[in-house]
Amino acid sequence: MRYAFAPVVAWQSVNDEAVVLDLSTRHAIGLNPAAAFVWTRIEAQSVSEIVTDLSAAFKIGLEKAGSDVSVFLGDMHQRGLIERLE
Amino acid sequence: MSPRGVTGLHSWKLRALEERIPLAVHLELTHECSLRCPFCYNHSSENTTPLNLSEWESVLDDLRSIGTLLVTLTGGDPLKHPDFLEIAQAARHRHLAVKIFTNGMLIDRPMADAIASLPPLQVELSIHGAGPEIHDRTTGVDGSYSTLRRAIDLLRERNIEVALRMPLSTINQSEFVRVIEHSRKEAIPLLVDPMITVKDNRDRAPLRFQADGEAVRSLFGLLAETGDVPTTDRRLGDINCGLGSITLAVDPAGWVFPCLQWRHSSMGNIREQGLKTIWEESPVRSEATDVARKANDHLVGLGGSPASYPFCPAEAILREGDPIRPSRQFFELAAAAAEARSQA
Repeated sequence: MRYAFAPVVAWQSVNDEAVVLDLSTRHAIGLNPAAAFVWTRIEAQSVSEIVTDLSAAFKIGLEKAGSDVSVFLGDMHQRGLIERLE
Repeated sequence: MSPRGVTGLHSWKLRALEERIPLAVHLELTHECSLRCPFCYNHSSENTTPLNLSEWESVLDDLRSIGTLLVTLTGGDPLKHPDFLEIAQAARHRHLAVKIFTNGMLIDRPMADAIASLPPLQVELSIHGAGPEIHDRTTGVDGSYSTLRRAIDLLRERNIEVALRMPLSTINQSEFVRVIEHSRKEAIPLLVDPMITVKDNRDRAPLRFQADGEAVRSLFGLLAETGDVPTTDRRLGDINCGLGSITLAVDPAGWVFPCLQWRHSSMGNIREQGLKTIWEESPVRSEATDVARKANDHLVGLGGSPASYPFCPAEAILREGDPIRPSRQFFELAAAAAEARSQA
């Protein structure tokens, strides 16, 4: 499964964090390092690839990484910040 | 893993200030404009070739890599650049937020559709009067008011965030109250700028259009009703503004400045060096940051109304030749603002 950024999104990352701006509501959210790690890979990798990389980078089990990524992407999707591609 | 909520962009701005990240950048695509406002600060240099699409794309690549989140496309009228849409789209493709500052003269249905498809964070339009008489007299172009109104409608029909900006001048000081009333009725944010600035080349001709003291006091009295009188909170050791820390401007010929109004010394030209290198290595940027600190402490030292009124060091350089020396007009505005706040 893959996702893409929604057209209403602007974002930027600095060091290990990121900020995501919803252009339709002008609301911004900050992302902690783990969330920013996932966010910055959304258009470049599949969900399973992101889970594998997150597990390795943050030294957490695959199951925990998969659960965290699923919750995060679900939240971003619900906020209208990402779109499901397949 | 859950995203950490942030209210607005304030936290990110504080971090940008701390780490010196050019969060908000002005890109002057062109100095060309369809209007002829007599107090315009732009001083066009005729012997320069404007940056083309490819050069602006390089600028955007560098901005992306040094942490910029917001680019304001301005001018002149940025829509006069032959590649305006492509540049705006290039910024969005790099996930940057785009704000457009225009006079609205070139916004027809196809252009409004194209702008909506970006989408922008906001389109800010210049307004000079409550109707065609004063607005068109200011712009020197018959029909410019009706074109502006149509542009506002076209943009709002497409759910684009619209804001208005009006310089207070001798020409419109008799009816600025009506402009404020209209904007409140239509729920369109309006910023009235009480200060006319000198031209970028230090030509003081625009100053003769500075609104009189009575109009300024009247403006601040109205703004006081909604708590919108310009104000700032200063403490010793703070910085006056984001000059050299989070602001940056690139002019149509590629000259880079620490902010839109700072024109007395350039940080470099993107045709000679990459913007990333200029931002990281220019001594002018360090000079600007130092000015932002000194200006703040100087105003704190002055105390009273000057200490609580927003100050622009770049404007002070152009007008007084000294970035920490406020002009007589600054003191008048600061006093009027303090009076309005005290009576609110």
